[in-house]
Amino acid sequence: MKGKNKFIAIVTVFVMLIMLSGGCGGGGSKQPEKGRIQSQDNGSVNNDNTVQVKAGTGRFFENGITLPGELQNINALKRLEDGSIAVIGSSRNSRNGKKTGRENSYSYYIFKSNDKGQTWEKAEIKGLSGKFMQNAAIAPDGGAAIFSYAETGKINTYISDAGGETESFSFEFPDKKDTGHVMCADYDSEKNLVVLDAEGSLFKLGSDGTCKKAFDTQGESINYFYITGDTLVAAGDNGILFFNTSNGEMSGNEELLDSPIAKNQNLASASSDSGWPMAFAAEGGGNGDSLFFASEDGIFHFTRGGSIAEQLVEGQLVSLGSGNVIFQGMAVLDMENIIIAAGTSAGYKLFLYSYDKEAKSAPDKEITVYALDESVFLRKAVSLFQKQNPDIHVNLEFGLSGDDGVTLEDALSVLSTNILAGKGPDVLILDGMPLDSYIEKGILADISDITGEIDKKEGLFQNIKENSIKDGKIYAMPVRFLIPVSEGRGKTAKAGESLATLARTVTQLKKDNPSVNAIPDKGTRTLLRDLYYADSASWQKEDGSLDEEAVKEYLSYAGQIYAADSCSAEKDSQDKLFGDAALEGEKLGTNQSSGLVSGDFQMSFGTLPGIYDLQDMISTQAQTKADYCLLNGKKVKSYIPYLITGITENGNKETAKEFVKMLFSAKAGSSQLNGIPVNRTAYNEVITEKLDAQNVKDQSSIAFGGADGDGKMYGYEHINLTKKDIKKFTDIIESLEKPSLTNRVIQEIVLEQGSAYLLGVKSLEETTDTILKKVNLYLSEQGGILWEKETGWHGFLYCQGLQAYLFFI
Amino acid sequence: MAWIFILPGLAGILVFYIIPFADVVRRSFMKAMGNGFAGLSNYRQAAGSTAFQMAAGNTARFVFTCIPLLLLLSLGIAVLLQGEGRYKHLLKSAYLVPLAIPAASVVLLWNIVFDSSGMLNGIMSFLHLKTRDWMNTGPAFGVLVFSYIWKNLGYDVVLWTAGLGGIPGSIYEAAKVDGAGAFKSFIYITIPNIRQVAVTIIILSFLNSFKVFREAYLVAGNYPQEQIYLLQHVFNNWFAELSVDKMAAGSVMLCAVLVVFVIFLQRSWET
Repeated sequence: MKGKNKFIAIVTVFVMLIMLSGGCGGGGSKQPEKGRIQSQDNGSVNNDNTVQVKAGTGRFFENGITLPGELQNINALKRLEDGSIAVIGSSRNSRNGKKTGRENSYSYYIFKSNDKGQTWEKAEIKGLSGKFMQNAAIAPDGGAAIFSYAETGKINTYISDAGGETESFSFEFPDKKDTGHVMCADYDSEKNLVVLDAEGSLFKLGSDGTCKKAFDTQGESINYFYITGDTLVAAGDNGILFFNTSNGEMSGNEELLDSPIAKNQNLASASSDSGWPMAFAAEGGGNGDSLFFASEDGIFHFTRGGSIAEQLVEGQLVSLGSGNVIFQGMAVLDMENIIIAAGTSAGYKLFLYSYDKEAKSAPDKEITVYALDESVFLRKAVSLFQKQNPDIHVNLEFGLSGDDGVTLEDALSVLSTNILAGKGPDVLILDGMPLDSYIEKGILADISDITGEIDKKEGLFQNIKENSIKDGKIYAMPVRFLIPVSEGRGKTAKAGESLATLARTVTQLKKDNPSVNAIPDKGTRTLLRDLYYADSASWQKEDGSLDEEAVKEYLSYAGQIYAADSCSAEKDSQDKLFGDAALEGEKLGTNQSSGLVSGDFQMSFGTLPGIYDLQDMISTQAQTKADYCLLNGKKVKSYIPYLITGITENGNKETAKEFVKMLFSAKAGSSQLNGIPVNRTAYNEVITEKLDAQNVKDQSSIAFGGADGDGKMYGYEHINLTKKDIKKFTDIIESLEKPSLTNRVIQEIVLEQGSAYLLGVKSLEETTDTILKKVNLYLSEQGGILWEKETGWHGFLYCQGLQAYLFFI
Repeated sequence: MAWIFILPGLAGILVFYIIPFADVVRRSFMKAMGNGFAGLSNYRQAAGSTAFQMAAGNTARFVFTCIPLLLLLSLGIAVLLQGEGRYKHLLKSAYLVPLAIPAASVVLLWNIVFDSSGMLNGIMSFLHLKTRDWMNTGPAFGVLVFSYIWKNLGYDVVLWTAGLGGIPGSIYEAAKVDGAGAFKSFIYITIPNIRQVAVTIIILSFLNSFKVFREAYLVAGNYPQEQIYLLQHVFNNWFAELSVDKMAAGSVMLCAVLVVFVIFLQRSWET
């Protein structure tokens, strides 16, 4: 009996030890679960859909297909019953130097290809020139249906054969609730047209103009659909639904396909006039049992009733993951060739995804790029890099996604944990991070060889580059930057040259004209942030602490401006919602030139986020006769660094350098996205394009406008920049001296306490005192070196004493 | 057989406490990144940092204010509850309620009561008294002390009650026969008999006092009013900015102080 107890005890102890060691393990291997998405030979896919690189062969590669002939827009793409592909698109009628009165009209074409898009047969769709197309559908025989607006409020439908000969009829939706817009259209197996209205209902069209609600969606609003055989696949708000086209009944859903919708709530509802956020296609026009699905996450293949979907292409490795991709259609030629038509920020594109049996199944090199904030620019840069380097996989991670409640401190702590565990990123986008602390600790590698090479080849703004040099090395440098500006008419044009004159001018403007706002309604935080960007570069003393007088002065001017033209509480709540003027990865500017046109306010100031916004501001000024200057430029010529990039010392340095080189290059820099490129060639390219902008040239002018505060319409013409405009702006950039303080902890303390001061909760002295105490406390946490200077031997003796005491104990 | 039974627990302590702490000690002599030996430089930097000094001072001030207050108050209440009374069990339970309230609810309560436009200022302005920004001015320390005592009072009362329950009633009866009053009985019977319990209660209260950081952090963030800026704030912030070298040195120093305190407490009680 005693022996038995002993045995039980020993077994229990060992079981507990095994459980303990199991709990400490890395999670062990995971079996594929039903409903999970799995990659095809590309290694395993984690629950968050990131691919783990694994050796093996066979992989899809993306190749661009040159758009056929005159096409500028693509409206639909389909695989025809004879195995060829067809594209419907349009091109704007060019005036060729003469005004024809048709500059804003389009001609429509059907293009057909039998060789994966290498050559195309063209057919112009007759009778449509000058009409504005709503949507289009391609028939299995190469014909098409094109929907356009009719003056009667009905929808004109043009049925074209493969040669472009058309017949037309018009129809209207039975309930007439919407404005008469076809959101999506396709042909069923009996060549009947099925259309989707703006309310999310599906209808069948008869050739005589009859329109009947033919599908029972059971209250579900449909955003996009695709028909293959007798099956209609529809994307609803909550998932994917299947319908039988012959009787209109719902034939179930597919849990497997619901997961991309569940993961991305915006996916289903992001359909628009210009395309859809997803596309379906079936292999060889089957009955929907074998379906392909494409979204920004990639291309997936699944079989109805199956338990897993194969990920054929990972979105992030190709153009699909670059953000802002709107699908026009997908065609599966065979299991090894897929064509996708999509609208991208660089225009409409056709992509061919071909399977290469010999290629490695996954890139053999991998780097991780980490940024706190979502950035569309970064996404595009990663996509560009992936296309140039198919052997390198880039993991792009954002610490603050905004929808999971993660705070800045949480994100930084997780980053620290990963770096300490040796799993840190290879490339760091240091916006908002404790840059100096990272440099001091040796986390960042010297990138002066990269910046030197780019500088030599393409040129960099020297002032920005020089500001990034520390101890003869460059550990981090902004890829782009913004500048703070102020604009106004007459005397107010130069009012923003210092915060003192700005505060005085705003007060005077409001006094002279109390019924009109002096400045835009910014809310406390945006007002404080705009002035912070323009002034904070002058705050830090040599020892790193903040200058009390400078902070007090800044708060005082902000207080005067706020008091003169009080900003509304609603704006404060908006500011809290949108954060640091960044929305969905775009760094937005806060200067509002259009308000000077509408007369909503008398002068404006804020951040100018890029060249496009410069053109916009100059365009308004042509009408308002206003002028602009660098905000607070008389005191300190500051800029706002954006996408401060560094490489980690312990990461995959060589590959990371390749990525950073591309990030600083003219090719990535010439993007029209937010920020002024630090790359000189990219800057010249983007700004000289505005000297002779194609959109302005083609249409002589584009009217921009809206309604002012009273609902009265206003507008202004977009004009080209002149050489004088470019020179002035370039001179301002070349004169920039210092970056504004980018550390988000300091910025947050200033904004939080400053808001309390503007709202009258605290006095100026109290606020300044609190800011200084908190910021200096933060700085002292970082300042080991500072302490050695200040306390010298006292600290040393203290430590020696402590050591001796510990030894004694 | 004994070692076999100790093994699982010991393994847990080794894996989750001893080995990580040994790594902290190792890191305290190393540079933040890489394996470079830093000697005592991390200790010099940590001990000399104004932030660390301020936090250490605040933590010491907090501990030496709270613990005596808490011990005296809880002992007093426990002694009162020892006597006859109809509602003493109900009262004992009532004192334990704050312990059961989750930190998030406590923080919500703090915000409702102590916010600059909160309930307390509402009452103050109703009484025509000067209102204050309680969490961002000097009184923040008092708020933290009050919160700690409010939360831990019941726990200490229960511990004292257990200690008091262990003293045989016959001793008090004998003292009563000999003419000793309640005060003399307390001084000469109760206090000597609860000395061993007192060591445990002091150590537990001392360790619990470090948990007050949670509430302070949730209410006032990483950089609270300077008087409630505690050692855990520094460690937290150092970790976020990867100053693990200083953090490790600071932790070792804090641990040394704790060990010294516990040894001192035990020795002084034994003599």
